[in-house]
Amino acid sequence: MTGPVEFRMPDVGEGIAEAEVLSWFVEVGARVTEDEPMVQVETDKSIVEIPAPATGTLLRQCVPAGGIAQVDELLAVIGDPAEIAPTAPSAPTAPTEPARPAAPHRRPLASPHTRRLAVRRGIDLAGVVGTGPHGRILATDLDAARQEQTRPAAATGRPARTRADEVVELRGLRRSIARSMTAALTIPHVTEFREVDASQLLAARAALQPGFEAQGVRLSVFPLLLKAVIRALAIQPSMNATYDADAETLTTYAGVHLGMATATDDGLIVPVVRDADRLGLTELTLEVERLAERARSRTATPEELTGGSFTVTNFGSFGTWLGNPVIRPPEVAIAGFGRITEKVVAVDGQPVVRPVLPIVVAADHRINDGAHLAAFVNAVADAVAQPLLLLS
Amino acid sequence: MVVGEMPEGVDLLVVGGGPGGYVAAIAAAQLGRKVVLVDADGEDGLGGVCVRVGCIPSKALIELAAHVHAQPAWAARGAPAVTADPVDLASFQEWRQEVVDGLNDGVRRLLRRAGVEVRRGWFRFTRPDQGALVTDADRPPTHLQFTSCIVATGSRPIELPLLPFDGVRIVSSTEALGLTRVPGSVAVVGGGYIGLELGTALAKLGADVSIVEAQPTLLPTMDPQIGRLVAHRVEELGVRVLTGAKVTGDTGSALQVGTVDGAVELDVELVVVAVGRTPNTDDLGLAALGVSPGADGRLAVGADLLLTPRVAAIGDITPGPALAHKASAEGHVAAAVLSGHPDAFDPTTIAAVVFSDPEVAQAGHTAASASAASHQVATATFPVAASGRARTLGEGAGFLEYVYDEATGIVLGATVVGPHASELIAEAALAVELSAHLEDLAGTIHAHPTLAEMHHEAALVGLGRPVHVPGARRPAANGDRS
Ligand SMILES: Cc1cc2nc3c(=O)[nH]c(=O)nc-3n(C[C@H](O)[C@H](O)[C@H](O)COP(=O)(O)OP(=O)(O)OC[C@H]3O[C@@H](n4cnc5c(N)ncnc54)[C@H](O)[C@@H]3O)c2cc1C
Repeated sequence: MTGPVEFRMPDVGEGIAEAEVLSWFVEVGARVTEDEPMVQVETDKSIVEIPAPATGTLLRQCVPAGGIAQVDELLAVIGDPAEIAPTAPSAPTAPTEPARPAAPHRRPLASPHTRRLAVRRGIDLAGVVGTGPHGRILATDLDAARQEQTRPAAATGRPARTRADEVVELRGLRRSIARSMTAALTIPHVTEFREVDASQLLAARAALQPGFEAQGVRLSVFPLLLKAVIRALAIQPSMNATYDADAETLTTYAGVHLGMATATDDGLIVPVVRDADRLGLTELTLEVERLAERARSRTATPEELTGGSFTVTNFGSFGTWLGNPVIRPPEVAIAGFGRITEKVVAVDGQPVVRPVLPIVVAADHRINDGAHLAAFVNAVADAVAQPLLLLS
Repeated sequence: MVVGEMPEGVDLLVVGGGPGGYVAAIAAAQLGRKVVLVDADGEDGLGGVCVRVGCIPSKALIELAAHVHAQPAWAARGAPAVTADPVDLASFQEWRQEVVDGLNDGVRRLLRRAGVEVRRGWFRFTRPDQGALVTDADRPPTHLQFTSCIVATGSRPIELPLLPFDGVRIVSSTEALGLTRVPGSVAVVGGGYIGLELGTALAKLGADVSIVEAQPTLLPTMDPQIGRLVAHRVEELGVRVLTGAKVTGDTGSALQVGTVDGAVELDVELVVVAVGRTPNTDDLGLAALGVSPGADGRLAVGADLLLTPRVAAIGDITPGPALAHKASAEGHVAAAVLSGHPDAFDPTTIAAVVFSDPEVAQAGHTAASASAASHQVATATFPVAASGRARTLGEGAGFLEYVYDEATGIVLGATVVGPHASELIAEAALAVELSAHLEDLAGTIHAHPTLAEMHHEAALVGLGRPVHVPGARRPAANGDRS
């Protein structure tokens, strides 16, 4: 990196002159990655996550959480860590303290075990009250701290969720539909098929590819399709749910925990991308790749294979045109994609050749009706046809 | 990509088989990753500089020298005298090779048991998620495409333009550790820990040694007091210590040195250049990752050790002390971070040890660095001369000193100078990491007679209740200390 990058409060919307800094996702001294959320601000119209303008070390937060930033005011400085702490003299050296912020600071008293737990849980020890001897922070103090501190994004780069998972008892029509559907069919699938012009999707991938390559990430079409599904689930949240037939409760999820049906030598395995809706495209791509590899090498942990709220299956990877996907209980829907192939389609009355993507979605008819299904499929199809929608 | 460069897929790639790389490979395998480790020397490279030409062989040489040197003193105390034949360095080298080979083989077995595949070749990045593994000139390279990568390529000796290595008269630490004959006269250029360790060992083996150091004291990165103490001791061994001195040239038989008192010529058979090490980051193809090393050749990383979302760097190529245990500790963190488990390399202390005579070891803050960090600093010192166990070893020089926060009694750091300081520092490092109170050390019963009792004693000194040293009783500084 050449010299520090100064980052000023951007103009976030029509006629807004200032914004309140709600929270910093990255602490001073920690690394920020270009385009990953760095700070969350609130204007009187909306809450906005502002991504980092460059990759480097966060050298300064110029407006503290709770402070007001005027448009164009200096918000942060990003640069080389060498600029906050002198790098150690040339190798090999005797004990030099690891690089730390220049401001004199006392390290919170805590054992390595406690410090590691704090990192894993994303808790900043500086804000934890220690109950051990001489104020030492004990592992048990972290539990109390967890409730108080908003889950800081230093560890994950993601802000706290404002909406919680919601459990409601099924009532009225929904309950009677559920009961009757269960009685009628063990697997009450309702399925819809669609073919969508994928020209724009392929163009979007081609446009994004160089930027991804520069970051060392190979972008395939699949993560873009997952983005389309995530968008559609936001529009049709009743598909992002699990149904407990015995308790007759429906759990609608605040986050999207996306199962990816992955073919392995031993059979189909479905690793779950947790909180997929909170991942940027880069993170999503890396996570999909990582989990697929873990599924294929059979090294995925039980936590990585459970807790899904919706499943996507890629028939295209088997070379199939499309298939009839089977819902994984207790989930209530599943989406499948076929292989993109060139087909002759009519455009303005003329036969033209276009890349066409086949889509299929099956929903649990106890929970979702044809109208829900259609709304969901439309949303997926719209996003595939116009990938710009994925930006919103 | 050129046609024919069909890359091979690797889940987690580790580049370099040193204490950073092999530990990272095992840690990643334990986290369920499929790991491939590449080293320029293949399985022979396992253990890296540390096992092959660093920590292990140097300590073997130092141990030999210590025994040779101690014999007359023990003979004077009644042990049978051993005839003063010249030291047989050739058979020492055979034994040292057995030690090195045994450790290298041990690492190989550990990796095999963990399911890590080891490959030979020089790795160079060609794309952000890919690189070429070059084996020999006439074979096309293999291309490896990785999901994650840990770079642990270590460092190599710095060469001085005035003194190019010829492998015979002007050598690096590597050749010095492989000597099969004790040279008559040696000049060691560089008074850091590697130069000091080698110079001391060669002097004890009978060579006529001079140490040339540009800074005003030996061990320039440590407290000057320690440098002076060690200089005094090596001078007793007959070593000529030239500090504030710079090499100005070499005639092929005499090393020319400029000092504050004028020019000096050292007629020496062997010149060992130990002026530091430079990170192996120049031939890695880092541009393909979009990163470049700093002026010192090191790669800037944060606590997560990541260079890019999928590549981490550890060991001698990252900032901080170039030490094997630092490399290994970073290996654990990098493996966790790249496997989706948040983690951070954030130690309170990385202990540093110099196997000089006496041994020197330090962990955490010194008094100076602690007050710079705005602590209210106090120190508590116990002399080695007051240790019963040290007497039985025939040793009396040195001390154990704790640095603590006067206001809270919490231990901030320690320095040990004396026999087995390298082992003694471990307890101090634990105390610093755990934020122990002096009372914690004083309240832990230490076995007798041991050198480790000095921890207990030094803590008592700090608490104003010394037993084995006279000391003005110091009133408890505050209510925190009972
Ligand atoms: C004389 C001496 C004494 C020392 N004594 C001590 C001591 O007492 N205590 C201590 O803690 N430390 C000591 N050190 C330092 C210690 O050896 C290093 O800090 C440590 O080895 C660093 O580990 P590493 O994993 O970073 O790299 P290294 O051990 O340097 O290993 C790097 C490996 O990477 C391979 N490699 C490099 N580039 C490539 C590439 N492009 N492709 C494939 N392979 C590659 C090399 O072949 C090598 O095997 C000593 C060093 C020396 C020289």
